Amino acid sequence: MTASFRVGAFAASRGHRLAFLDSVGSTNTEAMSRARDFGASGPLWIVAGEQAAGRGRLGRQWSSPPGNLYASLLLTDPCEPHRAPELGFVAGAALAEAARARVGAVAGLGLKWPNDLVCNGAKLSGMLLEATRLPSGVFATVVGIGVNCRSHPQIGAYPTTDLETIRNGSGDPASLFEALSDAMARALALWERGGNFDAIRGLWLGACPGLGAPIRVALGQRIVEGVFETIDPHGRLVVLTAQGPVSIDAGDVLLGPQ
Amino acid sequence: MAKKTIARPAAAKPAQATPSSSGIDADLVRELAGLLSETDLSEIEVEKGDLRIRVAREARHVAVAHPAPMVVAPPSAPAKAAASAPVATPETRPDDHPGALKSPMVGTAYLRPSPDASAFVEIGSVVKVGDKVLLVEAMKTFNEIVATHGGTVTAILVEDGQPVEYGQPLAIIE
Repeated sequence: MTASFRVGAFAASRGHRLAFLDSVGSTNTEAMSRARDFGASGPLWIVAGEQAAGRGRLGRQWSSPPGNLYASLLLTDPCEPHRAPELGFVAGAALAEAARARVGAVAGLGLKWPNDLVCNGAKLSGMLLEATRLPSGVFATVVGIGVNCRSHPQIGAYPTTDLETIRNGSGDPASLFEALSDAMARALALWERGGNFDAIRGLWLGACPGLGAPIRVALGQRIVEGVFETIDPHGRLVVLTAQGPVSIDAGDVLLGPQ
Repeated sequence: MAKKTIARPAAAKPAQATPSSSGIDADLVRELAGLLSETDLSEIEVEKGDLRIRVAREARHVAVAHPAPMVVAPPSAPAKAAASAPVATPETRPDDHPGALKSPMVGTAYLRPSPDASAFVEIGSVVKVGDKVLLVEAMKTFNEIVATHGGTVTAILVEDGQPVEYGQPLAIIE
């Protein structure tokens, strides 16, 4: 299994490296620990065959059986800290490109704000981006990406799916990773440390099937409903409500039936 | 629970000015006194040239573990701002406290790693360089705010889940 995972040719040419582990607690934790405790510098992918303690947002668990992709990219000094949230869009655009390369142009396959990959409203992937300042003073980020390749967990709260279900033969996590590593290296180069976020925004919008459609966003206990108009130059979600446009920078876009 | 101000015990007199050669600027004292009640702070100290004014009152509540040195504005800019700005505008914040940890981004502050977990730190916690103090989330990116110097957490200036601005002080370690 180890030998089958490798970074793509473009990523390798940009100095992106890979450390593959059969099993790990969390690829994000491993990546951050290598940077913090062992002085590792990026760009370094940590990929695991399975995770014993896969993490999602706010301590939520991320189901991590063998057969799916668990990959975290460590980046040291990728940008000014205030631009770090843009990395979620860089990674989202890259993941959408890699998924399209695997399953082809499937209607309804694309991004949900800010960076989940969905197919007709069913969740295919999740991201966890973490940033910190290392003891050396260097700002570091880890972009954690989990993709349902061969299987998907049954989550009560929202529908889920996997690549293999979308198209037979497309569920190999190593092939997806190779495409993803190249797409990520290209997107990072295009982004120019935040100097060219507008280009990433354009890619992201091009990979978002929900534009112009009704959307519901949970902001704590409150739900904002309206039409998904765009994302603004900072990446905020712009929802056109009955009261006018609302820009959202923290919230959960609700999947599934209205 | 954690108040968005620094309260300090003691300070019995309602207002006290320390005049220097420049004499007392009564308007400035009045303005600072107004700010004091408006912001619910217990004490404000400013310096302008060689004039140094401290306005203090009895604290209504105490949110610190032990008496902490209060925000002392460095000589020029902030003091001038406090002196010239209309009373309604400035919201006195410990922006210039040397021990302030500031938000590197616009986002949402969290005091704990997950809703059920205990807080990274509490007032009175002793931290060393690199210890996590809180998180700021912006568009699903979780930014750890780590202690840049060791010391005791004397103030937590935000509530769990509170929106924060770029550069906003989040906690004070001294």
